[in-house]
Amino acid sequence: MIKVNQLAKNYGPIKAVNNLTFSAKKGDVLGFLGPNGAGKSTTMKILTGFISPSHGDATVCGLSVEDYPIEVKSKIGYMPENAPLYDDMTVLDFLSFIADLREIPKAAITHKIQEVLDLCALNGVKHQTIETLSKGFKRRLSLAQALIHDPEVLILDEPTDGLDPNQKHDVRELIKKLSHNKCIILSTHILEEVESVCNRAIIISNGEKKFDGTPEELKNKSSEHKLDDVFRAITTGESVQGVNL
Amino acid sequence: MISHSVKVIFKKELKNYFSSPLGYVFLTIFIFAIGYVTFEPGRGSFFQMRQSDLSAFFKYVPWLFIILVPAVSMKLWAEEKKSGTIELLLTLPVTVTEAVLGKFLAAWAFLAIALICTFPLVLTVAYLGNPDLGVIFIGYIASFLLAGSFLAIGNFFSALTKNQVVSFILSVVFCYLFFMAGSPPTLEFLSSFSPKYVVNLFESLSVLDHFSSMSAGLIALGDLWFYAVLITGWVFGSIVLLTDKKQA
Amino acid sequence: MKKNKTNLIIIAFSILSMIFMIHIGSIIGGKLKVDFTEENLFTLSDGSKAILKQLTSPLKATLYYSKTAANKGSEGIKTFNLYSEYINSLLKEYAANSRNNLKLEFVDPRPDTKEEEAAVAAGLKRFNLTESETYIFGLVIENESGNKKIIEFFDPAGQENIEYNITKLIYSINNPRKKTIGVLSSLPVLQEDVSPYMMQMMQMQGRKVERSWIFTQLLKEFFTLKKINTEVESIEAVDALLIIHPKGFSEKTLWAIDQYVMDGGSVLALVDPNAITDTTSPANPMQGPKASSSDLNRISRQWGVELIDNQYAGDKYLTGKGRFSANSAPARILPLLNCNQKCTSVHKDAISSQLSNLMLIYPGAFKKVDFIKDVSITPILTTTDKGNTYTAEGYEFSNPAALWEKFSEGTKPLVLGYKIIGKFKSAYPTGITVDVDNKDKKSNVKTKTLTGLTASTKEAAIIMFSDVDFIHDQFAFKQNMFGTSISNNNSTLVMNALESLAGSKNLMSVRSKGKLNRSFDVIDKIEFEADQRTKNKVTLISGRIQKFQKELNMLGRAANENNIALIQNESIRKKKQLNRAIAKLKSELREAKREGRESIEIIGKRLQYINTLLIPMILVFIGFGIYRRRQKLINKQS
Repeated sequence: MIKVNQLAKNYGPIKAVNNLTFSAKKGDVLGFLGPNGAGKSTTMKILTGFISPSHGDATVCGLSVEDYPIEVKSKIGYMPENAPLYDDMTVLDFLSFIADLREIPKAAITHKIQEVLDLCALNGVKHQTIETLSKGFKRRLSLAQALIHDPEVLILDEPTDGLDPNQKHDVRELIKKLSHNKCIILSTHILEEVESVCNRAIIISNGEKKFDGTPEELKNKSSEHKLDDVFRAITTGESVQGVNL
Repeated sequence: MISHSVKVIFKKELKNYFSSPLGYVFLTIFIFAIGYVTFEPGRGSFFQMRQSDLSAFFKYVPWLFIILVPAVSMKLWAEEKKSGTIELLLTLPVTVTEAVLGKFLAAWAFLAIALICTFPLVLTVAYLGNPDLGVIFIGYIASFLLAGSFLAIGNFFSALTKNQVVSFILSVVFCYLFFMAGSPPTLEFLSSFSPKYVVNLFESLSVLDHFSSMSAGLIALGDLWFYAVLITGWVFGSIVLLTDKKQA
Repeated sequence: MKKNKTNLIIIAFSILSMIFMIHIGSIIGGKLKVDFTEENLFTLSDGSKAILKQLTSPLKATLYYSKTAANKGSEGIKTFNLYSEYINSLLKEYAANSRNNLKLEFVDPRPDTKEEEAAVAAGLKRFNLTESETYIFGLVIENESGNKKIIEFFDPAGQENIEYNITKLIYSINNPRKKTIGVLSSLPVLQEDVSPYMMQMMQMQGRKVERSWIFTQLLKEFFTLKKINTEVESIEAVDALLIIHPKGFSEKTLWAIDQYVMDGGSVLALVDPNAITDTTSPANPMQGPKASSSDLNRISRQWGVELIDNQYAGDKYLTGKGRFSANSAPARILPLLNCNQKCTSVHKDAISSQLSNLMLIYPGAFKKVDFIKDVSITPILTTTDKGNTYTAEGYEFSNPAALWEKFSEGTKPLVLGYKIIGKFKSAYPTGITVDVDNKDKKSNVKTKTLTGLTASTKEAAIIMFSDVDFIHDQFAFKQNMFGTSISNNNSTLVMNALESLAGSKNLMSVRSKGKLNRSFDVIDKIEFEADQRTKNKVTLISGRIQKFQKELNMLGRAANENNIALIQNESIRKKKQLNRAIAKLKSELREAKREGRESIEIIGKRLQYINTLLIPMILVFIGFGIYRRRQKLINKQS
C-alpha cells in the first residue's frame, strides 16, 4: 500500500532523508525507529503531503503523493508529532470540523464522531475546549481525528509520547485492534513499543535506512535479546558487546 | 464554484471568532472606538457638524482598520505555524489555496460583521435628518473593500512569519504605506528623485484616494479593479508563500 | 538566508505586477462609473449633455492645477487636491458625452515654465504659496478659432454650481450671440458703464456715482442688457423683459408692458410690498413703507395674479437668523424668510427646484384672481403650510420681536413666486389716453389715445416673485478673499427664470447642483423651540422694565419740595428692586437658553452612548450566554 522509492529531502546542505526505500502492505504495522533528527518525521511529512521530497517519490495506494495530493491525503489518517490541535475549539466542534472536511456525509457525521469518541474514550470531555484537556486526552483526540474517516493508511508520529503507562497501553491496544485491515506506520523511540505492536521495524539514522525486518529479527541480533543494544549498535555504528550485526 | 473545503474552513474560522473571547473583544473595541472618534473630537465631530451624513465616520474607518485589521489577520497563519496545527490542516484533503481562501474569507466576513455592527450610526443620522442613503451604502461597500485589502496584506505577512507580533507590525507598516501612497508628503518625497510617471504610478496605488472617492458616492470601475487586484495580488502572494514553504 | 531571499523576490514581484495591473485598470476602467449620490454629483444633467450634443467643432479644455505645489503646501491645501480630483472626474464626464468634440488636457504648471505663462496669459489667477511656489487652479476652454473662455479659479465653496459654470463656458464659447433682456426698474439696477477714470473725475466733481447692481453685472455675462426707460410707450426688440420694483410707473408704461405681454412677450417681474433697499426716493415719509412698495396689480390682475396689498409673508419655520442692530444678539427674524427645499422642490419646477437656500426680506404674498380661466398658473416658490401673512406698522419695522409675537401660524402655504403661461385679455380694452409731449408746442392737442391689442395674440410667459431686495448686492452676494461670490441661491433663482424665459432651456436645466439640506431636523426643531422660550422671557423682561420705568416716572411726577427726599429714597429703592427683578429674569433667561442648549447636548450624549456602548453590551451579553451554555454542557457531561 505504501511504496517509498529512493526518497530524499534536503534542507540546504543538510540531508534530512537520503535515498530511503521501503514499502508496507495492508495489515502491516510498521515501526519507524531512529534517534531524534534521524528523518522519521520528515519521511512521514512527505508521505502525508505536508512537504515535498527533493528526490525520489512515494506512492500511497498506488497514487503518487506529489501528483495526487488530495486523493492521497484523503486515504491517510495522520497524527502529527506533539498532536497539534485547535486549542480554542471544543472536542465535538473539532471532530465535526475534521469530519466535514473529510467529506463524511452529513447524515453519518454524528455516528462517526460517536464511534471515535467511544474508541478513544473521549466521551467524558466532548464539550470541553481542547486547551483545557490533559496531554493524554489531547493525544487520544489527535488519534481520533486521524481515525474518523476510517482511513486505509494510518500514519502516527510518536503516538504514545508523553502518555502515562496505562494510556500507553490503551493506545497500543487500540493500534493492534485497528491493524488487521489497515496499513499503519508509527514512529517511536520506545523500543518495547515496536516489540509489542509492530510486525515490522525500520531503523533509520541520519536519513538513511539501517535496518528493515521483523522485531524478532532485530532482537535476535543481540545475543542477550536486548533491543537497546541492537539499536545503539545500528544507529551509532559502534560495536556493542553481544550484538552481531 | 467555491469548493466544499473552503466552505468548511470558512465556517469553522468564522465560528471560532465567536466561540472565543477574541471576536467579542475585537468587535467591542472597534465599535466603541469608531463611535467615540465619530462623536468626540471637538469641532470636527459628527454631532457638531450637524450634517446628516457619515463622512465623520468614514474618515476614521481607514485609520482604525490600519491597526485593527492586522490584529485580526496576524493570527491567521502565524498561529497555525506556531502551534503546529498547520501540519494538521494541510495534511487534511485540502489544497493550500482552499485553506487560504477559507481563512481569508472568514476573516473578511468577520470584518463585515464588525462594519454591520455600526448600524446604529446609520439609524442615528436617519433619525436626526435626511441622509443620502445611497452614499452611505457605497461608503460601507468601500469600507468593506478597504478591510479586504488590508486583510489581504495582513494575511500575507501572517503567512510569512510564525511570530504574530512581527506579522502585526509588518502588516501595519504595509497597510499604512498603501494607505498613504497618494498623500502629498509621500508624493513630494518621491518626486524629489523619481520621474513623473513613477509618481503617478505610485499615486494610483493610494488606498486613501480610491476609498475617499468611493465614500463620496461614486463607484468607478477603476476603483473596483484596484481593490480586486490588491486583494487577489496579496492573497495569491500568500498562497505562493505557503506552497513555497512546502518545497523548502 | 536563501529562503529570505526568495521571499523578498516574491514580495517585490507581486508588488510590481500589482502596480502594473492597477495602472492598466485605471486607464481602461477609469471611464465607467456609477454615481450613487442623491444629487448626482458626478453625473452630468441632461442640459449639459444636450449642450455637448450640439457641439459641432472641436473644443480643447485645459485644467490647470498646481499639484506639485499643492503637495508641498500645507494640509489646508489638500481640500483643493480632492476638489481638483472631483473636477477632473467631472471633466472626463464632459469629454465622454461630447462625441469626441471635447479634448481634455490636465496640466500641472510649475513656476516659470511655458505652461504657467500660458495659464496666466489666458487669465487664470496665480497665487504665491511660497517664494518659489505658485498656485494655479483654473480652466481654459478654447475653440478652433482660438476664442478662449476661462474659469479663473475654482473655489471649493462653489462646488454646487460647478457643473453649471463649466457648461456655461462650453455653451457661451459656441453661442456668442447673447439674448437681449430689457431691464425696466425704478431702482438704479443698471447704470451706464463708467470707466474708473471717469468715475474718479465725477467723484472729484462731487457727483454721486451710481454703480449697477452686482446682479445686473452678472447678467451681462449671459445677456445683452437693454435699459428701458420708466416712461415708455412700447417695448420692442427684447427677448425677455425684467421688471424690478415697478414703483410709480405711469399708466403709459404699464400699458406698454401690457401690450408687450399681449404680443407674446416674456416677463419676469419682481414686486415687493416693502423694498428695504429702495432708498431712491423717500418721497413722502408719512407714507411709511408704502413709499417703498410696488406691484403690477393694475395689469397682473388680467394674468390671474395679484400681490396682496400691504401684507407680508412670514413663516416661523423658515426664519433666518440675523442681527437686527449692531449690538443685538443674533436672533430669528420674521421678515427674513429663508426658503429651503421645502419651498421649492415640492413644485418640481426646473426654475426653482434644487434650490435650497433663498433669502427673502419682507416678501409679499400673491393671491390668484378667481375670474381668470384657461391660464396655467403654477406656484414655484412658497412658504411651508405654517406660513401666514402679517402686517407691520410704524415701530414694528424696527422691532422684529414684536412682529414675532403677533404672528400667528397659518395652515396653507403662501405663494411667493408664480409662473404664468397663457393668453390673456388686456387690462386696457379701450386703450389709454396719454399726455402728449409738451415740447411739441405746434399743436394744441394735450392728450392722445393709444389703442392696441385687446387680447393676446400669442402665448406669453410671466414669472413673478414677491420680493425685490433678495436680488440686491447686500442679500445675494458676499465679498471674500477671492472677490465677489454669490452667497445663496437668490441670483440663481432669477437667472433660472430669465434663462427659461429667454430661451436656452438646456443651460437652464443645468444650474445649481443644489446641495440638499442635510441638517439635523430634530436638533433644529429643539433649537427653534428653545429660541421661542427665550423669546418669551425677553418679552417678559422688557415688559417688566417698562412697568418699573413707568412707576419711577410716576414717582418723579409726584415729587414736590416736601417729599423730594422721600421720593428720592423711594426711587432708589424702586431702582434697586427693579435691578433685582431684572437680574432674576436675566438669570431665568440664561437658564432657558442653557436648557435649550443642554437638551441638545443630552441628545448628543445619548446618541453617543447608543453608538458606542449599546452594541458592545449586546455582544458581551451574547458572549456570556454562549460561555454559560458551554459550561452547562461540560457540567452535564461529567
